Order: sequence, then C-alpha cells, then structure tokens
Amino acid sequence: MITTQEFHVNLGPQHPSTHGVLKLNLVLDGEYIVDCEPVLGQLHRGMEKMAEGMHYGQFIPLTDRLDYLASAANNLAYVLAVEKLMGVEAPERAKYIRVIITELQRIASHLVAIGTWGLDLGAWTVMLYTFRDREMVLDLFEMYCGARLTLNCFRVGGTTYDFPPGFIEKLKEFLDVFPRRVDDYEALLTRNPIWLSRTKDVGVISAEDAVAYGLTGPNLRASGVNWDIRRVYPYEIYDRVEFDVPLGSRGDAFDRYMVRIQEMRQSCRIIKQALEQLPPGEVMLDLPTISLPDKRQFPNNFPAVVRHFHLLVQGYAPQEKEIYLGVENPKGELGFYIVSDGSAYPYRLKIRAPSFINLQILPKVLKGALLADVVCILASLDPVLGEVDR
Amino acid sequence: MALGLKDIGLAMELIRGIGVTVRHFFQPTVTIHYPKQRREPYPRFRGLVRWDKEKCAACVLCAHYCPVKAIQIVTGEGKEGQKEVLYYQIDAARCMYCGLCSEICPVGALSHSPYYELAVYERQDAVYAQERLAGEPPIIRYR
Repeated sequence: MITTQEFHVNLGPQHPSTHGVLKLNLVLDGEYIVDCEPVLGQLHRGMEKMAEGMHYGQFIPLTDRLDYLASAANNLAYVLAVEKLMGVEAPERAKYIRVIITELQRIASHLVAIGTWGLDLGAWTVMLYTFRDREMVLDLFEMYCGARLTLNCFRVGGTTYDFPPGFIEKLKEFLDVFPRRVDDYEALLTRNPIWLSRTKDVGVISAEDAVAYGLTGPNLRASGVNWDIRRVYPYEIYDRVEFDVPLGSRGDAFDRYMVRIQEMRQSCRIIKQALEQLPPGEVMLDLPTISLPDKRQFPNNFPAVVRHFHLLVQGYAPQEKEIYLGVENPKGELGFYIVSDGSAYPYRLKIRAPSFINLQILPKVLKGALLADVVCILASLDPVLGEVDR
Repeated sequence: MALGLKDIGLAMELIRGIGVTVRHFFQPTVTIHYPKQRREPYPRFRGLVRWDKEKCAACVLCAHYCPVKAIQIVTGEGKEGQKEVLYYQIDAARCMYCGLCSEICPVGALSHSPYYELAVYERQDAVYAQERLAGEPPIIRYR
C-alpha cells in the first residue's frame, strides 16, 4: 500500500528571491502548495517604540529605514502627519519640491520592483537596465540632498534644501530619456511569451479579496479597484496636476506588472507638470514655534540663539490630540497614527505599513499554486521587509 | 513538425527582445571600473562627518540631538576659565549619515566630507576621535 505525506519546505530567510529576510513555511503536496505560513519579524527594530523617546524632528531619519527603496516618500508621510498635528502647512515651493522628489522616488521604487522581479523569473537583462536608470534617479537625489538611498530631506514645515543649480536641467534630461527606457523594458517583457506564461493568471486576487484584506497601492489597483489616495484625498499639489490612475482587470501578476509600468509613465507626467508650475519663494516655513532660525545671525542675535537651542533641546509640543494621515507610497498607503499628550514626544506612534498589510494575502493566494510560482507571486506583491517588520 | 502561427509569434517576440539588447551594445558605457576610476561626489554629498576644533563652541547640541547617539563629548574648563571640549568622538559605525548634526550645529563646526570608503578591519578603527576628526581620514586598503 502506497502512502503519501505532505512535504515541508522553508523558503528563506536567506533566499535571494524573498527580497529580504522573509521566511515562508510551505507545505507541499507534490509541486502544489497546500499551506503557507509567512514568518515575519526578523528585521524588527522597534521603531514605533523608539519614536516615543524622540522629538518629532529626530524621528525623520528613522522613517527612511521603513521602506528603504522609497525613503523620501516615507519622510513625506511622516512630515505631513506631524504638520497636520501641529496645524501648519509648508510653503508652496516646498510642496512642489516634495512632490517632485517623491514621484522620482516612486519611479526608483518601481524600477527595483520590476528589475528584481524579472531577475527572479530569469529575465536578467531587465534588471541591468532598470538599475542603470535607477542610478540616474539616485544621482539626482545625491545632487539634491547628498544621500542616495536614505534621503532625510523633508522637515516639518518645508524641506531642508532648495534645488541646487543645474538640478532642473538634469531632471529634464532624465524626463526626456526615461519614457524611451520604459519602452525598452516593455519590449523585453510585456509581450514576451515566457514572461506572459509565468505571470498571466498567476496569483489572481479578486477585487473583493483585495478590499477585504486591505490591500493598497498597485496591488489593489491591479484588481480593478480605483483607489488612489493622491486622487481620493489629494494632499500637497496633487489636485493641481493631471494624471491617470492605471487599473488592471484580472488581478493577476501580469496586471500588477502593467500597473507599475504605467505608474512610472504617470509619475513622469506629474513631474513635468510640477516643474512647469514650480513657483519661486522660500522652502521652509518661517514660524518661530517650529522652524530653526537662520544660522547667519548667530551669535549676535541672542534671541535667535536661544530659540535655536530651545527648539532642539526642548522640542516643540503639539496640542493634546490624535491624528491619522495616510499618503500614497509606491507600495501602498503608508499611514502614521500619532497620539500626542501635549509633550514634545509622541505618546504613541503607529505605522500603517503597506507592505505588511499587502503580505497578509500571501497564504490565500499561494494555496493551490505551484512551487515555482511562489517567487513570482511574492515579487508581484513587492514587499520591502524593512517596512514589514519595522 | 510544422511551424504554427504561435511559433512565429514567439520567434518575433524573441527577436524583438534581442533587438533591444543588440541596440544597447552600441550605446556608450555607463559603468565605471571602480577601484581604478572614481566618481566625484556632488557638493552636497553626505560622507564622513568632520569636526573643526577651532570653531566648536562646546554646546553639546550635536551629541544631544543625534538620533543614534553616535557622538560623545566631554567638556571641561579651559586655562582661562572658558568652556572647552576635552574629548570629542564620532563613532562612524553607528553614524547613519542623516546630516542632522551638521544641519543644527550653530557655529558650523561639523561638516560632511566627500569620503565614503570607510571599511575597516578593526571595530575601534571606525571610531573617530580628536585629531582623527579633521582632514583626510586614513583609508585602509585591502590587505
């Protein structure tokens, strides 16, 4: 008499295709997956707790380390949340600069998503091309704020820097070149029979499931749900620029790929319009309770020195209230829920991390899938483990 | 084995993909041969933090504000009774190059240098203190 038994396989945490330290406990019946249990928390740093011991301004560089492929977008989400808590608004020029930098960041993040996904499925060339073009974006970041990956460039009440001379010309150069580069990726992948057979009808997520599991970002829109926070609750300048929200129809891995490709084209459109509308002026709010005084008046202007030290040692204390603010990150809705008790430190800071919530649907999607498709489905959800584990 | 319409389509797509890669053969190279060629960082590049002893006012703001507590300062009384720095150290292994210290320093004593090749063999070599905080850092080559 022949008996069969299920086979257990550990995928990760040291597996190059899990995009970080994700471990999947898979139960297999032959080639098919019976059960999957993601094991999270290997990159846990306790960021939410760390925030409780820091001033509001000190926490900004740590938000870089959430979704490290889109650090400026995390900065923006946090900074906007604190601005909402304080009841202030950044100057116009700062808003435009923030949107331009975050849209560049969205392009960079999607380039990594598509490049590494291609690499996982054996399309090695795409990764080389996407990383070459991501390098152009990173050069722009280095020119703007001095860092390439963890930017830490936005502050409560504005941005740290204005655009340096030569930045806008270089950005326009990039915008001219980039749509043709996206055509190249599409020529390599979109109608490639191997790519199509690996992604079409693989990892299908229905619209009902996507909404029920709380998916956001490209993963939700690929299922055909028209939900983009930039459109639904416009923040910064998104109500003044025209852009389309790309939608999928079937909710399979291929749709998630197409949504990301089209989002990169839309980001280019947004940056072009923002550059046309870019107003002159200050990039930092001049509000004594928040913004640091101009250092050129030190040490003769004594009240300014005192204000400088007061703001950095004591911090600024918002009113006693709680707020939630979510913005559209490349991965989905990144939200910050901040409870203030009226002191200079947050009483509680909760991060709604899009990758973490997008990953929850994985066991459901993987059930019945082939083992070879696990890597494809995981890459199509595009999790970043820095954000999943926080 | 007869070739069907599907096979022709497959071949066409493969040729299209190869066409893209062939076109890239004739485009200028974007990579650089790193240890032999080096790219100059942009002026705002945030590399290793440098400290200017002459400018420092010993206010301890940097050590207080650093989110990862990479800076240690010991202050004391100088010969003429003024406050001065007795010991200053930056742990480059803890530093996350966020740029907050140079941004908040009221006298501009802290600045970011363009040095980025900071790998060391011993843990204590990554701790920059006193004299090692000014000028060019010693670059440890592969041995």
